[in-house]
Amino acid sequence: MNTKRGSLLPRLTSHPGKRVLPGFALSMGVSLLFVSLVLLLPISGLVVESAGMSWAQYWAVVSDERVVASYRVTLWAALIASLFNGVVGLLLAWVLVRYSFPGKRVVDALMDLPFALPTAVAGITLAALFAENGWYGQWLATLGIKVAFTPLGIIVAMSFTSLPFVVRTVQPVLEDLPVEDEEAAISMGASDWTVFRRILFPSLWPALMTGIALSFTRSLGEFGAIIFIAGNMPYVSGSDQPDDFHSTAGVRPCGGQRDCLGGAAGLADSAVRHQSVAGPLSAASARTLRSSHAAYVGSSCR
Amino acid sequence: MQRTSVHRVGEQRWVRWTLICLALGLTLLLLVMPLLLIFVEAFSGGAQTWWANLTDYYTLRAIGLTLLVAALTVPLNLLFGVFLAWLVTRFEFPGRKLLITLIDIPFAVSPVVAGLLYLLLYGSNGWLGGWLMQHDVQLMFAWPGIVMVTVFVTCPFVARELIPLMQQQGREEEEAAVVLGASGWQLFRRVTLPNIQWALLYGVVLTNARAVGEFGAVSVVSGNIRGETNTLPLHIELLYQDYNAVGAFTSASLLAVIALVTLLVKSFVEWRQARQRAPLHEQQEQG
Repeated sequence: MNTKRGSLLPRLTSHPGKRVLPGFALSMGVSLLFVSLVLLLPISGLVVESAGMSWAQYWAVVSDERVVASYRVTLWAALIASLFNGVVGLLLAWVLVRYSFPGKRVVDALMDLPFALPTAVAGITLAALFAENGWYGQWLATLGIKVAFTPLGIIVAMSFTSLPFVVRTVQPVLEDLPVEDEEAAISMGASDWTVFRRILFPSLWPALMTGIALSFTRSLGEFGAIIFIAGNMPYVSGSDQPDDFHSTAGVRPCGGQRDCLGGAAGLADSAVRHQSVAGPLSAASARTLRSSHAAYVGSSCR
Repeated sequence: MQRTSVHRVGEQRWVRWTLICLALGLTLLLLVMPLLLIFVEAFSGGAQTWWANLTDYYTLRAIGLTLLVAALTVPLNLLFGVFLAWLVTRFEFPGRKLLITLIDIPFAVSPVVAGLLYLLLYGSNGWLGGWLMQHDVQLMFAWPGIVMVTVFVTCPFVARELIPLMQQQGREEEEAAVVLGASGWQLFRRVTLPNIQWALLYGVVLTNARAVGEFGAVSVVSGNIRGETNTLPLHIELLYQDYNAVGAFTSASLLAVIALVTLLVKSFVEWRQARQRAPLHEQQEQG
């Protein structure tokens, strides 16, 4: 098995059942212990808990009117945000790979900022930028565009937090593209645009799609940044925005793992009860509860 | 580099400069301005106000808790990441692929769900939580819970940085060391560690950045008790909801500095790895 890999010591390592390198038992033990305690135990807890839920109950939660409305907002916003990132990310990747200009290294390093910046920081920053008296908000206000506490705000938060995905998936592919095809097409008289469309773009397409898909998934799951710009603020309750926006953030996880929702119903319930038991917590944590748990289940707690 | 006369797409002067300006403009609007705003807002009341906000009792408690969480999470995940990477890149065993898939769960599960999973299990109505309650152990809505979900959320980082690198490097060097009589610890210290040190550093920095900045998962299990279970990101939320924008941005500026350090370390690590690889490429080209 190992000889295939061109090991230096094929005779030694090809003995089945004989391991040359030390530490198999130790690393296996540590890994399994960690994986079981940290990853598998909590997940099995969810399975146990939601096993008590019938399909009808589950369906009632999943298909609740307000929950469905929040799916719609989440999906549309994530779709628009990831397509925006597709265009911008392709442009940025292209410029970073093909051209050299002063400050290129800094720009390249900055691309990862949305990943490095905690989402809560990104959230308040975007909210301040797009507030009606903010740096961007005041300009947009003169155009009659309102971003904070609207679906546009959700899109802004989603595209900011997932921007690096497209840049970082397209960049390496663009770097490795062979020069020959491009050169040949140009020497045969094709225009730049034709070469880009017919030769370069098809090779970039898979990477671009991967980047957009990653960006979309991350957008579905974004929470921290969105709650600041799109809702859950104390003063937003009186605004003209329906509850759908509150749910947007909450419903996000269900893109990949539907069953989480099922568990979430019973979960929010138990969390609420826990709150009332733990007296000193109640006031402070009621806010968290509203912002995180209630969002999942929309109205099912009522 | 010898073929300088190659004509490539988008080399005309106007195309190039239009695209560069567009990209720089977008970078400015999307990335630089937000970053700038954090510091402008944080210092909008002058440096003294900034310092006063920073040394506020609750802010200091939040910083302390955040440091505690990072100090417990990073070593745990460092240990796990190294052992796991060693296991899956140096040995063949049934279930190896499954294990590699399993450690990606925290990336697939969104942080709020991660928090809910832990709440479900360890909350007072939970499966284990009830039993713990009888023994007067409270994990949720207390700092141990925050550490637990942070460990969950950040556990893939070190392993994810190490596995591709160690796979690519292969096990020949280590096998040679064993044949020459190296002990397990010597082998790791002298052969493996020098090869993986930069990736390891970056993994640690990523883990730390995420541990310090985690919001979604922590907000579920924290309970937001000021001065008790409030981490820095949660503290930012509370201040912001209290209309104390300057205070919120003061804490945010601290986290933004950590983010900038993360980016710096990343650039440095990439530069080191490129330099390590460069001589290899030259050898291959000669051969």
